[in-house]
Amino acid sequence: MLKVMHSAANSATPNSQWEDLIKLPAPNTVQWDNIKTQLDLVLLALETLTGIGSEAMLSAATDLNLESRVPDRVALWRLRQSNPLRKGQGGRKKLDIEEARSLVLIICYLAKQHQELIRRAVGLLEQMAENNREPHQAALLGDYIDAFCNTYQERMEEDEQISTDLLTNLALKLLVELLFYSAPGGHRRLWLALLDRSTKF
Amino acid sequence: MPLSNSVIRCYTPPTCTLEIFAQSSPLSRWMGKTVLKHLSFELRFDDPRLPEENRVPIRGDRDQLEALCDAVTSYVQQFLQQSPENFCVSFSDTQESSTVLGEPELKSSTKTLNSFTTQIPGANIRLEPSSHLTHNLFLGSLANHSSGPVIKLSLLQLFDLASALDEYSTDVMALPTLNSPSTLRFPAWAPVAAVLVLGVGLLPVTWQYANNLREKQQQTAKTADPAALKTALETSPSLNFPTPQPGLTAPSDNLLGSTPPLSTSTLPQAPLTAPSSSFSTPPPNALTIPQGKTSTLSTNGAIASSSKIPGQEIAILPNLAQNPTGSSTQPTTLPKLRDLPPRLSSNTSSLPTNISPVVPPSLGTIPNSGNTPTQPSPLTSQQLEERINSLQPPSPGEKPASQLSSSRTADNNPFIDQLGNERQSPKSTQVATGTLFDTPQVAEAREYLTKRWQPPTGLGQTLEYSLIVSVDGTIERIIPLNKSARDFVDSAGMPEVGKPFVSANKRGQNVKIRVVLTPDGKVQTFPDE
Repeated sequence: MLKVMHSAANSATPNSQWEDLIKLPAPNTVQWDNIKTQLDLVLLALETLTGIGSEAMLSAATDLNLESRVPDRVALWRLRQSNPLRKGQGGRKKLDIEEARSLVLIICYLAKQHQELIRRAVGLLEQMAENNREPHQAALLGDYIDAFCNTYQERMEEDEQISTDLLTNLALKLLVELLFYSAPGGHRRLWLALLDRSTKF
Repeated sequence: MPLSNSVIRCYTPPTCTLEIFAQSSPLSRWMGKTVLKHLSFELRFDDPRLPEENRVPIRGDRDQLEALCDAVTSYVQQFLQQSPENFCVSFSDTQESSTVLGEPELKSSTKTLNSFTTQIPGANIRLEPSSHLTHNLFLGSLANHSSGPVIKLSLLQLFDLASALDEYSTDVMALPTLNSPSTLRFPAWAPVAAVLVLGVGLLPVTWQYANNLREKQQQTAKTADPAALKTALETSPSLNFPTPQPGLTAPSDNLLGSTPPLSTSTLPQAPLTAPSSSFSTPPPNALTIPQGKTSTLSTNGAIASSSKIPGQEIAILPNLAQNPTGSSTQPTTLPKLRDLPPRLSSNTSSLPTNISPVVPPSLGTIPNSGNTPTQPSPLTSQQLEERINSLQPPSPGEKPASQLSSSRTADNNPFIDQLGNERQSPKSTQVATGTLFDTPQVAEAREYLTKRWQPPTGLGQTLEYSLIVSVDGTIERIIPLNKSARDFVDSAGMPEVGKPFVSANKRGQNVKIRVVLTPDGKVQTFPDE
């Protein structure tokens, strides 16, 4: 009931979210590679946790009036292929700032749609941590971690030697991030996190 | 407080409840935006898994809420920017459980995590990572004896707290666009007050007229009186009418001193350019957080409290707005701390240092200025009579002015008293206008909603709401009573919470109004008891 009282105030439109991102600072070139990687990885986490594919991302783009920037499967693939860690040179493309903003909005939109699942997974993760148990032992988390690691290894350069432990941590970290991006102000959080991220994967 | 619109906002993510209480200032009218003042909040962690003693509410004022917002937002942002390696430390480290909560020295393994501890010294509210993905919220000045100094938050609780605080901030930003229907509108009691003042203001004149009449009848001299009365009648309304404004709109009085600084602070995008320009130079060291950070945060936090924050479209006035020295005008170009990445907010350190933070006194100590000060004590009717008699002028031409000035000072307080009395003891019941049970508020609500109710397409069910209307006629709560009412709450034409809706209740009570909106466009309202 109380939620209802201010729901009108929260009806943030895709346009207003876009405006939000424009108001925030733009990244410099040094950060750019990391941003492309990060966006692709967050999408990877979202995909492997929820099982959604490019179809859902494209329809999210439509819902957000971002069709002009992410019109079809190929365009989306090219955007994600801009991640320098990706295998293969074909289709690698520069990601421009508007495309990055579009991906941010799509990620947050989808995270919000799947907030319940994300929340459940994070809740499980907390419980496992509290009981000093391996996250794998919870089915939901185990499946997610496996799917994440497999897909990561499928798509990313093999010469990037990355241990399973590190991949697991990356998967769990991204899971927690997704929770925070699923909040109403998630797009701002993701954008600022992208700007400030200095770690490489 | 019949003069204020109490604004209540409530944010209820699954594990916590944040309630905001505030008054919207009459300044909003001139500001073109909702100005909140006297804000206080209550935060409860509702998680049933928490031990009972941790479920106590935390209460605080505006500054503390801002400090909490900044602390949580910056912390979350830093948490998100953490590298996966650090994240794994916080996940797998099991030794931490032995660390006593609130103990300042922490084991070396947490040192790395503590690199992003966020602290706002003003309120001393900060967060620190703890073991097993939990986080310690140090309450600082918000702590009460039942809450203890630290609350341990799970990830989900931290997320919910951050969401509630974020929603509060966004809500505050989103308001102005929704406020458009509120045009300049005198409060419903204004005409009543004006008539009262006019009546009281004219009292000496009529008194004198009566006296004169009596005297003149004996003296059989009639010429001066009609003229005197005429002039008195002509001048008195214009002179008397303004008196209710300063007397009654105490809150606006209180804030008038700060009007110019605030309005300059609304200059559109200027503040926004500051942060983005500071971004164009890449930060020198991405990994380390500058040492001076906490101090920056403190100044920033303190200053944010006294300024209108750019980009935020509700200006929240400090509790004490009578600070006319302009100290509140300078910080307006500062970006809001939590809108910036924490590391970058430190770039602004050069800006705020020369500005002394304004520390507002506690709520309780603020006099409701405008109401209380230097009002003459009420005159008894005998005194009034004496005064009037002593003012018997030699020539009728001078009479009105002196008379009126005396009546003005003398009447201020009786007028206020009278209003007060009226509130306590209702004199007359209002005439029913619609149905048998109509009160003025119910009738006004019907009128208001009839104008605004446009049945949305596809609506098959009636919508039923229970509205709680404050004494002053503003909407306090909108409670949808069925599912479709909840679904269509945005399109039902409901007034906004905290906005003027109907006239003030003469009995000084909150009113509950039941509203039934049917798909065929009909509107029914009746008292909901």
